[in-house]
Order: sequence, then C-alpha cells, then structure tokens
Amino acid sequence: MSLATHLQGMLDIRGVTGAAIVSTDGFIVEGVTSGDMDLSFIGGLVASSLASSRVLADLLGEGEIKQTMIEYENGPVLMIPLDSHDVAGYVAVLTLDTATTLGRVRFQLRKMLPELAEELSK
Amino acid sequence: MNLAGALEPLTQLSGFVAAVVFTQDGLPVEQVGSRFAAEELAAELAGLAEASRQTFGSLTLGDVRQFSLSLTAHDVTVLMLPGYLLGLVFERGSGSFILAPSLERAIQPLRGALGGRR
Repeated sequence: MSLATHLQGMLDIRGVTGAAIVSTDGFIVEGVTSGDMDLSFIGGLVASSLASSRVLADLLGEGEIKQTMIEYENGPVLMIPLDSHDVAGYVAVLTLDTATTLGRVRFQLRKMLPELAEELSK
Repeated sequence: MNLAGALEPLTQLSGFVAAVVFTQDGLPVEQVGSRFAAEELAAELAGLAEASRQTFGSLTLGDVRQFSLSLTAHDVTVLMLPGYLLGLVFERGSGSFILAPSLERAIQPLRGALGGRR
C-alpha cells in the first residue's frame, strides 16, 4: 500500500479535510485533500511550530512532543510526530473541519498511524 | 479584579500546573502556579502563536483561536484573548485539546479583566 493510499484512508475519516506527511524541516513528502485546499502552507507551519515546541519541551524538562494542535476559526490542524512509531524526522499532519471531530479522528488514528509509519520506514 | 485574582479560578482545575498571561510579543504580564521560567515560556509560546498566524493568507483558515501541545508529562495550551495570550500548563491528560466547560468557566474572570470576550 502506498503512502498516498494510507493518507487517503485518513481523508476518508469524517471531518478530515486534508492529510499529509511532512519532514520535520518542512518538506511535504505526500499529501491529499478533499477539495482544492492548498497544503503548501503546512511545510512552514510544521517546521516553525515544531521548533518552538521543542524549545518549550526543553523548558518544561521533557523530551518528546506527542502532538500539537492549532485551532483556527475554520477548523484545526493536527500535527503528530512519528517518532513514537520508530520513524524519526516525519510528522503526520491533518486538517479538520471542526474541533468537535477531533476525538473521533484521534481514535481512528491510533490504528492508522502505525501502519503509515511502517510504510514510511520501508 | 486584578489579573492575579482573575487567574485564581484556573488554579482550582484538576491537573493545573501553571498559567501565564503574556503580550503578543512574548512579555509575561502575570503568572500563577508553578514557577516555570515565565519569561522564556511566554517568549516561546508567543513564537508558536506567531508561527500559526503566518499561515493565514495561505489557506484562509481564519484567526487562530488556540493551540495545544501534548508532551510526555504535560499538556500546554495557548488561548488568544483580547490583546493578550494565555498559556496554560496541565499535567498530561488533564488539559484538553478542546476547551472543557470547567476551563471555559474558569477563564471568564480573565476575559472580563482583559476587556471582554473575543
């Protein structure tokens, strides 16, 4: 199964409007969207927010970022580093239509992220 | 009510660790709870807020309402308030990615002290 197929599976979760794999330095490896959404902004967002998050984690005496969510007026962006799935240097990024779908999406991702990480490590 | 008093209800929330009100350019105004390095915390949270603001033009996602970060032992949330930002640190699993009613209630005095609801 290709990366795009895995991401398409995430896009099929109700409430998800875009899914992408981005390297921690901001390069978009693969991405899919449900409409004409431009995902190019995500690279910069991931790179800058992860950099700040790492400094924050150090400040709080912690080593690992589990996930980051930025809630915009028109829906949240969820960023999940794949380090805990043994794939360092990549982040799964999902755009959602509303924050109320976040619980369902995170539940579904628990099963899908390990499969995605496995594909990415091949 | 002063800002320290307005922050007091937050300290009663389950898992509360610290809260800091800071300006959009990262200067701490008031803090309650554990004494993390408030200046560095405020500066980094402001940097994170700025990173998310920079994407406005690219995707018409609208204004940033909040952002949340889950770490190994803590959940960190930053809320946009009128003219200021509020950084909240909770024990992991206590802070919510979506504002719980109890948290929303606890923030009301602060919203009032800062000049209304956004």
